[in-house]
Amino acid sequence: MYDCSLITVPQHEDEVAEYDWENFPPSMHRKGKTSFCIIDECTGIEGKLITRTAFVHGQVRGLVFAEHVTVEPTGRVDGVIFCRKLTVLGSVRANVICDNVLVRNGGRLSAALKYRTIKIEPGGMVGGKFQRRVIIDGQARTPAASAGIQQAV
Amino acid sequence: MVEKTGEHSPEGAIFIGAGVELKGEMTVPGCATVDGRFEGALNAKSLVVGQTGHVSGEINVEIAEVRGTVGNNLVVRSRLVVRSSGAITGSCSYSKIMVEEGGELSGSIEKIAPAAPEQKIVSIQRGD
Repeated sequence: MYDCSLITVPQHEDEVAEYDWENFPPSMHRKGKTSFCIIDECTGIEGKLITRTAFVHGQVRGLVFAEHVTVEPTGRVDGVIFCRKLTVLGSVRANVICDNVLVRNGGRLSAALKYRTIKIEPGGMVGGKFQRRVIIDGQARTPAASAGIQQAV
Repeated sequence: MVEKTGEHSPEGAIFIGAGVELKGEMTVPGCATVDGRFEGALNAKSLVVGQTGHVSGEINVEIAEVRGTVGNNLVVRSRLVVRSSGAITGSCSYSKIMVEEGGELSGSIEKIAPAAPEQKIVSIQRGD
């Protein structure tokens, strides 16, 4: 029986930066084939969402902890996002720590963002404080890596 | 992306070659191309920062294409393009943005209202 309560959510920035996504429990369970979540346009969630892949058409207030997060054109996320890859077509107002960010046409990202790679397509809108995480000896680091994360949940 | 405003352009342009360092204040009616280093205040219609280029200071342009590095404070009233080798650090304001994968944005990023289009006054002569 899969028990998501056993998953430890990183509490510090360096824990997220060094997170071993290869051993992320939702990705390992049945090889991740059944671990995805679609939040439809009429659904709102307040709290924590932990999954392998999240497609957000509705609204999420709180924490999204997932390997892949896609905020669809009607979707909105307010809070905190820890992920490996974030794709924004809708609206994100959050503290975001991730490896790869893609802001597509029409996507709006207003964030305190720490990322490794970013791509913004024409028509994407971004704002906030951005910081690139550099990789030193195979580990991602930021100048303020020891600082705690403010979780807006 | 950025209009070529070189020798055939009626607007004045400047080219700062690789290895050249320039400090001061510049107003360029056309395109400022920087492959070297520039520090100071720059007002231009368009700015192209080459791969070896570094620009820092108070930069105010309509269009910018960045392949090198730009320090703060960059204000782009219209389109900002950051190519895969480009990096922007410090505060940056833009109206429209495009960042290629590999490009870097660090610091405070802000979207501003697009620049108002230039109004051209055209004299109309009656044909009678």
